[in-house]
Amino acid sequence: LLPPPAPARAARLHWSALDVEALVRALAREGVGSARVEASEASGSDSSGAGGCIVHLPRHDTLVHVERNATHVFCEGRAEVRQALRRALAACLPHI
Amino acid sequence: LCVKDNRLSFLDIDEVCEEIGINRHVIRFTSTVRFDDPGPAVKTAEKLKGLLTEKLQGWSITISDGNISVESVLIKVEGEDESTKNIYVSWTNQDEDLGSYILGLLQSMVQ
Repeated sequence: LLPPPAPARAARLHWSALDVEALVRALAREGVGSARVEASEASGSDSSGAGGCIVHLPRHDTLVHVERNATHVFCEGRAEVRQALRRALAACLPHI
Repeated sequence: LCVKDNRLSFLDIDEVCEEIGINRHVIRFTSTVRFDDPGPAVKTAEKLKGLLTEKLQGWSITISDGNISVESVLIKVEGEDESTKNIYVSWTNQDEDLGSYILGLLQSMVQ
């Protein structure tokens, strides 16, 4: 285990809504495939990112709950999967 | 740090987004650690806080209703008194280093 990080760190700031189809393509490029997308119960909308949806990654024991202004990753898989998800999300959202 | 109304001001990240008119997109990760620790969940949380206080010197660690907070990292313990506890570790993308460190610490503790 690495030593604990220093308190003050630069933070990457993301904005805008997430394009879920772009996320699925980015995940596939990262080797995290077999994604299944479905609208979340609350939204009842499509998977364009305008409403909420859930991306299932059953092979990686992971769920990604996407809303307009937030994405919550429930990752029970390995740290490598989480890092791949971070890279894929960064590729699909504008940030500074 | 920014100039607002001809004055220097410190703004947090949400205030900055509001000032410049963008909708922040918050990314949060949650992972679970299962911990065989009989007794009330709040006692398990107190043990975890002690461990984190020892390992994360210089960080502000708070506990409220059995939920531990360090920056954006939230640690919640759930489970009946005599059963294995589920420890939920959650953090925003901005605190990836801290969150993954705490998750790794708890995973190594239960192995």
